[in-house]
Amino acid sequence: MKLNRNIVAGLCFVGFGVLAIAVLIPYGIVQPPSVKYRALSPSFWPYIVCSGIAVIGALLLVYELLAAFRTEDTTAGDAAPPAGRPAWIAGRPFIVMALLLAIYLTLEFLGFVLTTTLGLVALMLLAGERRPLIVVPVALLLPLALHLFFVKAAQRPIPGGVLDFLLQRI
Amino acid sequence: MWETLAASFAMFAQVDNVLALFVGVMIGTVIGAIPGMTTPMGVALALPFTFTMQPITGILLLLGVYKGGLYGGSITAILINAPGTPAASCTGLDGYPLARKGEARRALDMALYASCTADFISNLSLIFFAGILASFALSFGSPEFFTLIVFSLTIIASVSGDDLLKGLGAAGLGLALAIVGLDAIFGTPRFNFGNFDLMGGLNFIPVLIGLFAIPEVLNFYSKTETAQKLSALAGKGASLLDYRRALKSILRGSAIGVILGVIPGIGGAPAAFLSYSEARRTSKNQGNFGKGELEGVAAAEAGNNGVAGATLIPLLALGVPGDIITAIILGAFMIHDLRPGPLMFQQNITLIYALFIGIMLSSAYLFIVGKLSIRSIARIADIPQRILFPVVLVLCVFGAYAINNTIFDVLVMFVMGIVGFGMLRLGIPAAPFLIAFILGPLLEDNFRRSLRLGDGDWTIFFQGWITWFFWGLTVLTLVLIVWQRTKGRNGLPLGEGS
Repeated sequence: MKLNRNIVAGLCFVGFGVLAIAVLIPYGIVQPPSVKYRALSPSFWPYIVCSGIAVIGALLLVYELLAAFRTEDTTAGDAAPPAGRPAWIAGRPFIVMALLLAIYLTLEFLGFVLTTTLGLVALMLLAGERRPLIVVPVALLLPLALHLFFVKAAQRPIPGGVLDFLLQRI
Repeated sequence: MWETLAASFAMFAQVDNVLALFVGVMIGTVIGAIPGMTTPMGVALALPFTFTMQPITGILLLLGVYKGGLYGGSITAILINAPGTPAASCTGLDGYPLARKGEARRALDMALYASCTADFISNLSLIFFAGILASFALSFGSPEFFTLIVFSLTIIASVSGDDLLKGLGAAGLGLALAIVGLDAIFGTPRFNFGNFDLMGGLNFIPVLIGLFAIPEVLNFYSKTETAQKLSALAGKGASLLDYRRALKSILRGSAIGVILGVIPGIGGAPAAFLSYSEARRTSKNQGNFGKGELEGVAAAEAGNNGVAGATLIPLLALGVPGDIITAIILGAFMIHDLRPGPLMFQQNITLIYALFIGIMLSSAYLFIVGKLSIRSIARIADIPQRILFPVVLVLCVFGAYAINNTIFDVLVMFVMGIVGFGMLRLGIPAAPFLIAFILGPLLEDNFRRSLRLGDGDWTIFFQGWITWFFWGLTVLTLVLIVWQRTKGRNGLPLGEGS
């Protein structure tokens, strides 16, 4: 039997439910000294919800197993990449995820304008946009326009980072 | 009576008032269309500008922002699947697939027509049923709210697509995520793990943007770019026939919006999802819902905008704000030494009628501003995806931060985006997750409050005709869902029915 996406989803639900019941709820929810009724306890609702998730995951797995016995064809929901797609394209979402992490880590220090300018250049190049006349103006003007809108019109204190001294003069 | 009406008309018919309402609708539409800028944020930002205005001018400006914001949220939901408001995420379920098929113009037109119709009906309900509906809403206690929300959760079955079990699992995850924060009764931390940023729970907007916009960006990078078939403006607009076909759903959605809007604390999102669910349940094209069904767009927008006038009913008739926006508007009344409620109907009836006239005009303004904005904002869809998606990502970063001015919200958005991408690849629908995340805290709070009220007696959930009414509706809906899925199953497991 192939590991199709329904089985992976079922395993994820069961895994999350079990993890929550065994670890997250006992260690992540602080119980008050005394609770009049069990149903009023802060952990009552989480136990119900997480048990439900685990049961749904188990049901999904059972249905998949039953379906596997009924038919040999379990390829319908495979998460395998479509044929003909270059391997590097399949890996691009992971590069973007790494970029998201980099953006998050540098936002406060470099500031929103500089970080998102660099991010935009990287993202557009990764997406296949090579025309400098498009990449450069978009990367420079959009973050600046957004910064000015949020700071001046919406009165939001967007961090300027290393460019703060410059942005404050605009 | 006629003298009062004439005085009210004279009070309203000032250039300042007419202009303030128009500007308000325009600001609201633009703010609603920007992911991360919420309608409450727009109303709150406009509030300081009303301090120096005449009371009616200031309140009309805020009402304009409110109504424009409700519609504006649908524009980016349809064009780039980045809903500007929570309720607009429902519009995106069918609006975005339509845009991808090159029918964005049609979807935008239908969203506008449905919004204006529902807004008009909602305004009429405000004028005619203010007293009656407000007294009905007052009879809602925690048990009634609990049963109402249980019924609302049956929507999940409709938005789960072909796989009910995955939809239920996603809803479970949404409920679990909604638990994060401080316990509402004891004030003890839940799933915080010592993190101060998690004390207040997860903010709705970063979760929403993360779940709907970021997975689309990541999904774009996992494929080779395909040439765009049609520009949004090149496509046909919605015809009169389209409108007539969807009229039943629009009227039903408007009624749902009015009823839910009058109940404090419910808001536009549940109304949109409930209206969508009912439209899907009764439609001949059930299978097309979620894949680009125009009626789905109409139903969602009708439900969303149907609440606009109705939320003002408890505010004006009883002085009770139904949601955060009407709470801000209540603040505007109080700044001008006005206290909405039964007394205001006796002492300031001229002002009330003048507001009613302005509110009716706002539906027409919404149509004009909507038509204008479709022409300008719809050009977003013409931008090549290799430029559009990086731009969307940057817009999301600014938007997520601007909600609470915290970098943590940007992290929440990124994490939810990666979770959403995983869900997309595994075929787990995001809409049930979102609905459960919105309704989860309301469900749990009312469940526990009811039990406290009933001294631990579970029969409190079956006391009074309102609770029985909603239990009855829930059971009926569940029976219908099981029947429909069993009928369309043809030997497939429950998870793959109809």
